[in-house]
Amino acid sequence: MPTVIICSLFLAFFAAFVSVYFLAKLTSAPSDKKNDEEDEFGLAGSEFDCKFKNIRIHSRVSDFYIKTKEEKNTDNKR
Amino acid sequence: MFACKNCGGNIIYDIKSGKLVCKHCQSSFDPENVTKENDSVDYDYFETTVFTCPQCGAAIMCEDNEASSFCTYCSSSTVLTSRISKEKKPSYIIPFTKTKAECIEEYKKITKKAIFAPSEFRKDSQLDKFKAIYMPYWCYEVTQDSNMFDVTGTERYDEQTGSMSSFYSINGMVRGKFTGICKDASYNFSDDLSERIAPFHIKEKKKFYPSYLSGFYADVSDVPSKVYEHEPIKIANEVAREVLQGEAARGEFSNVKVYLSNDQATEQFNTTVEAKKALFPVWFLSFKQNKKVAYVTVNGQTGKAASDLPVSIMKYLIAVLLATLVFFVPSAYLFFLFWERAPFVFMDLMLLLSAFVFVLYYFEIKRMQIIETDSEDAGKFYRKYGVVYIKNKEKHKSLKNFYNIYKTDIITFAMYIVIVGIYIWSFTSVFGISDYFSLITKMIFIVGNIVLALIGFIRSISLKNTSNFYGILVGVASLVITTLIMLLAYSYAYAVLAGGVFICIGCFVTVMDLIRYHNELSTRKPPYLKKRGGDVIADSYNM
Repeated sequence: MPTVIICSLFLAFFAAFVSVYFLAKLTSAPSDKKNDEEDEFGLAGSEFDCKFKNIRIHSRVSDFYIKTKEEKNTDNKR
Repeated sequence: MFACKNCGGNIIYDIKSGKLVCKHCQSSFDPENVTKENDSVDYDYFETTVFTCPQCGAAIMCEDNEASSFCTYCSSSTVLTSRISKEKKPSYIIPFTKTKAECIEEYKKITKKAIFAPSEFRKDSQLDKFKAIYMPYWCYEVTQDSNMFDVTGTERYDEQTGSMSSFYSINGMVRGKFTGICKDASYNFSDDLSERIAPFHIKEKKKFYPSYLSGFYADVSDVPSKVYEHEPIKIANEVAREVLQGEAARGEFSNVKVYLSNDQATEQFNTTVEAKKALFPVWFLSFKQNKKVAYVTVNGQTGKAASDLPVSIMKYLIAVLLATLVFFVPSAYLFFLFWERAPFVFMDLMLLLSAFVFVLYYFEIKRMQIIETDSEDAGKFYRKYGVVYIKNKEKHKSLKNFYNIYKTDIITFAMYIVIVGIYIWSFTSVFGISDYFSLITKMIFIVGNIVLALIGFIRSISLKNTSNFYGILVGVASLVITTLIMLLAYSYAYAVLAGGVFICIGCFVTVMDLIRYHNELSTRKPPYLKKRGGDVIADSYNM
């Protein structure tokens, strides 16, 4: 009986200090989430205007790449 | 000090009205119309009083002649010495729009969940020490101006036998203007805190007049603009590439992809950058703890708050005690299932769980190493090494979202440990396969744990402050003791139980080590800044 209690106590203690550690870490660097919307380019708060004009596209060169057997097999599996 | 035109009293910037108000006769003035006698002489400089803190050496700039009795940066109560100084004018200023009361409210909101923060971080008497500081920022203006750029577009088709790639030449004209990409220009204002309270909305900027500072502290920039100027260039180039992709990929060219490196984009779009100094409003609070300070910051324009709080050891221990009581019942139930072999089952579980703790220790130390070396803070890195640091965006992201990114890895690893452990354990403990085989599997686990703990220790000795903490060594020692116990008396229940207890204590000391290290990094040494400013009168006025 005493061994069972000691084992239970120390296992509970182990689970406690690990789980409380995670809890403490997760709550120790609080910051406001508002305005944290996806800002892919880091432009929040700034102003920009970017315009392209007279865009022309010319074909330059074409290249044909022959697939290896493995690549074909992979494509077939997909 | 700015004097009232009607009564000669001190006039202070009032956050709510956005005007300078006289405390005595209640007259109000537009900041643009209030100047000091000497301001008109030199358009590039303005006259101010600089106070110096004898404790940390920080020079504090002020628009009032009353000496402050409290240093905002090192949190010392001291009488500051003063002198008159001329400072270079910044180009812009974003005036405060959030009062101290609103800022305290925002801070309280975010710290509601910080249950392990020391109690003094919530005391009203402490929160009253929030100071309004204009922090220096570099506002980058990026221009793209090219009448004939030439970039490459690629189109790729996959076919059964191979893939066809077509390359195109894309020409055109670009006009781009980016304003208000801002980076903090103070060495001691960490990039992390600055980014967490961002953004500041540049459209609300005003032309700088010294009267805006009346009633506030202000710091002047000490980080050269070149430290961050590669970042706005990169942002502008990425945006331009994205816009060009949208414009070019139309009609018959809808599958064309524009691939462009940052250097190519700079050359082709003729990207140039110009930095302008600006002052942005930040509510700032410092807590002193063991000769170090912890900072809390609130954006004075939007009210966005951020802080790094230490963990109170006392609160942590109380929470562990309470959680132990909660976990005790399911643990006891588990061991009653294996009544006769409880100490052996206990040892097996300790070995499995301790492996998890040592892996956790390794990852945490790795993360702390990144923070300690200032490699995520370009300003501090430049001051330390004199080299402009090009931030690794992905590395920085992974640092910030450490738990989210590594969560899957950690969980997968833990699952492997549990599955392998249960597999071995089910054969040895439950089915009672020979004690000799059981001993061999346990020894493999113990040696594995020692290796994990030693790897963690080797990584931790590269940290500067590790000399104070030897928790991981206690972890290693507990495993060595357990090894000896197992070799000498592996079939005695009490000996095995003692081994398990040693491992548990070793892991506990290791985790305490991590908490102490966290506290070490969440606080900072008092800074040594060049110049800042302040006015204690404003605190009571702008409540």
